[in-house]
Amino acid sequence: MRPLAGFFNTLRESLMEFAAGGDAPLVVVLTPGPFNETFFEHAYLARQLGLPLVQGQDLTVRADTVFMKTLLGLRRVHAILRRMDDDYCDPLELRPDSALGVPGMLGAVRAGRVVLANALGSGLLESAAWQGFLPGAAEALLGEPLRLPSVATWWCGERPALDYVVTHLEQLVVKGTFPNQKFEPLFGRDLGREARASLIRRLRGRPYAYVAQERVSLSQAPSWRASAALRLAPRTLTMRVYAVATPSGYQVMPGGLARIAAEGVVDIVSSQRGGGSKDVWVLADRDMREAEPQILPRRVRHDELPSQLVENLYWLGRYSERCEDKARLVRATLAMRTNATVWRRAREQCIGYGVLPREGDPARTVFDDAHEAGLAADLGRLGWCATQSRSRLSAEHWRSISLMQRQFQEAGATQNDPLDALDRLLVALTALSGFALDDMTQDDGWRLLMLGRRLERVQFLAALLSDRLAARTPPLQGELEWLLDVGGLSITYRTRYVSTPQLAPALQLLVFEQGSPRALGFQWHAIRLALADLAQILGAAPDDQLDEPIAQLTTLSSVGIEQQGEQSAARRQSLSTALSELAAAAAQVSDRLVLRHFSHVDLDLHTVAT
Amino acid sequence: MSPVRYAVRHETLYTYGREVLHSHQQLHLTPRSFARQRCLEHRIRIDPQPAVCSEHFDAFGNRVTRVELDRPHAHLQVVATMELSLEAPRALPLAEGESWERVRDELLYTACPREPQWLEAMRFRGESPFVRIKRLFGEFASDCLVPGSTVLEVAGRLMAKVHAEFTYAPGETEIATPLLEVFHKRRGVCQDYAHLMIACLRSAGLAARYVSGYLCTQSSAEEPQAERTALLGADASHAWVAVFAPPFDWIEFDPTNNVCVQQQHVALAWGRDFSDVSPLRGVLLGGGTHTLAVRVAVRRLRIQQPDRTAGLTR
Repeated sequence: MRPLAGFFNTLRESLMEFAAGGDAPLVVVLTPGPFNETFFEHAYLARQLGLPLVQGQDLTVRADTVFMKTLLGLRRVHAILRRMDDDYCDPLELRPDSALGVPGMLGAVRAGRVVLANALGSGLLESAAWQGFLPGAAEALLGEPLRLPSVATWWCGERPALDYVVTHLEQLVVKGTFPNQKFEPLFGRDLGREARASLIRRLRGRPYAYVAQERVSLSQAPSWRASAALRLAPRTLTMRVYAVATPSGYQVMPGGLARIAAEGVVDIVSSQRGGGSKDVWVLADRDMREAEPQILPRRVRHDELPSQLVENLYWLGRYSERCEDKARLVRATLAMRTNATVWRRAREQCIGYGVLPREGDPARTVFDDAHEAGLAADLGRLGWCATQSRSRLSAEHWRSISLMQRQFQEAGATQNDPLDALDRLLVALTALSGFALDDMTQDDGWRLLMLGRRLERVQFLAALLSDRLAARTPPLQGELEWLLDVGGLSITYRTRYVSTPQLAPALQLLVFEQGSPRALGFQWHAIRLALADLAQILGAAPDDQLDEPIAQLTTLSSVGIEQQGEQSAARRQSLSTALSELAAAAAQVSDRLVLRHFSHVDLDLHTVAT
Repeated sequence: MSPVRYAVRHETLYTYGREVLHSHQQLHLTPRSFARQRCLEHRIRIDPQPAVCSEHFDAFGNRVTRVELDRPHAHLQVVATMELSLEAPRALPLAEGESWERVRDELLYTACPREPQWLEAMRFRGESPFVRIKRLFGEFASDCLVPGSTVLEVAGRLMAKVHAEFTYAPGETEIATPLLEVFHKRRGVCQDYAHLMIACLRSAGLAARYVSGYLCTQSSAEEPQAERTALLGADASHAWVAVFAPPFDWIEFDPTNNVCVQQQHVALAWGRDFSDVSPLRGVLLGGGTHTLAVRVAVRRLRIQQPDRTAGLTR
């Protein structure tokens, strides 16, 4: 098959060529965002091209120049590959209700400070009306007939065309001229007398708003369906092809996209009516050799991450960790149901975090995403952040996230034992952390993702331990097992101490251990390194909020805190206080990160007119 | 009648609930010069001081000021002052000129090359963001569309009909109120009157423009020596309609007041509808809720040195 990579290279290189930005122009792909039905294609395109995928809010116009908001500040954008409708691009001059566009973009285009592909207004070419003019235009402009005949088309705005359409309605299909017109195509042969008369009235009233085309029989292709009696069936299809303008002429993609109708033989194929789309490939000549790799100018750019994307990655990290923590917490708690005292206390703590309900079946709440602070709701948020940062996730990474969510939902629907579902969820969540460590480019976005994970873990574990240590009595053995289980350190404990859990060594492991990635000590160490890195990149002083609580904690020790006496209780109390201060400091670090790097993303843009 | 002179002061003040961090504004506040009107002087003052301020002409030939504010600010004040000279009105022979049917047919597309004024007119014949073309509007206008009558006669009847059947009701509609709602309620303000009349004309296949500007409410009979009396030409900007009526080019009608536009209407800008010529339009980052105060004052000036004007024409 003919490879497509060359086409994408050409597209990227052409954009760079047109964007006069020196050696390394910044080119971005502009999408309306994940609510758009073709967002997947935008993310895919951006990944193929190796360009940042941005939404309107990621860009800003200053002095007729477009900039991308990145972690390191504003970066000039030289060219934009636009996947957004014309009239949504600039709320200042075009549709004022567009929350998707970039205010001032038209000014930048007018000033010639940014290349927009395709140019604004080119949406007009989507009108079927042009098809009627193509044969004549080819003759007039190129002096040759069309190589591929066009569907016979009459734009009713021409008087003779209108007359023809009115008298030949039987054989024609009538469409709207303008892409934003709400007009469903009508087939003349299907119309009764009244409908026909009404259509003719409309045509005469506003002839230029309608286009008529001859009815063509659409192509058929055999289509395979997994769940039907007749698996191989004919389906109508249409094809979408692509071409890119290069400084040396147009290049056509050796492939395309086919839309396949949901039903058998139909006259219209559109994605809004169901059906699906499939890739179209072009077979290569048998003896065509693998193309030589193109020698392209080396253009290297660093750290061009829109800050909104970085923010989403940060929250993806936090929610991944939060889900993992909550899943462990609920699983460990439900597993303790047989131990009445531990169950009561553990459940109380879960209720305090809002993970389990005070009333009702705790097992059902696990799957209920209407439960605000519950696991299912957080999984939903994780999914949202992943969708928003999809352009940075590998295909496997993304798939494992969607699979995880689907499995959990299915488990909820079939009322399976929640412990079972939680086990599987934890396997999937652990895989996510593996993806984070081994599958992602370790750039600023990744740094923030990991920082999100670690801050979340510190906040969760420090608060959990602090809560328990604040109680008057030392934890029972069952509670220690529960704490180690929630912390994910049961096995480490068992292999290291080969005994039933005791408070001092358990705390040593959960709090102070630097070698275990699940321990607080390991986390705070990593956070301080990450904050120092970040500060260096940004040329600012590192956030030192955590230093004091950490120093405080390291002066304490877990020795002799398991007795019943006053002294022991006081030691537990001061450890509890220090842990709670650590949790609070972690929350502050997070708030400050968000405020310092992402706050400008959050504000609403609005249009005002007198 | 002789030319008259006006001085206009148009002040817009936004007060924001929270600070605006950054904003882009687009101003249509520079009056046009054309056949019946000359702009002698104009000035726009903006507070706080904008980071960037530039001018260009839009697609309809209006002068647009673009402004960017990049420092946090809690208010935005724009004061446009201008001085204009309005020609003495020419008598309008309503019964002369081309019939509306002929103009309608001529405005349709043909493959032949067309004169520039017809091409220009065609831009104002189709739908625009605020003006839909509907059979409903055509039916409303039908008794004004007397066969064989001139475009000006049709426009005059239509203006009278809109004025008679609609009630001027300030505060009941806003910019975003759909025209169909205005049509059914039969109440609105000058913008609504203008949009409605334009919708009727376009639904009949004619070309019509939206003109934004100011109205001098001083009656023409008023003593000229009542000089420099501040006239609060209502308290905001005004809007009316221009219809393409060859061979007279574009003729203006004010359906809110049921008058042909003569020496009391100062035109700022024109476009397909309000959305093309909104005096001040902006996109803000931050700001929260805001309050808006608009004050317009139109003064009639006494002409002392008619020949001084030439040097000041922009």
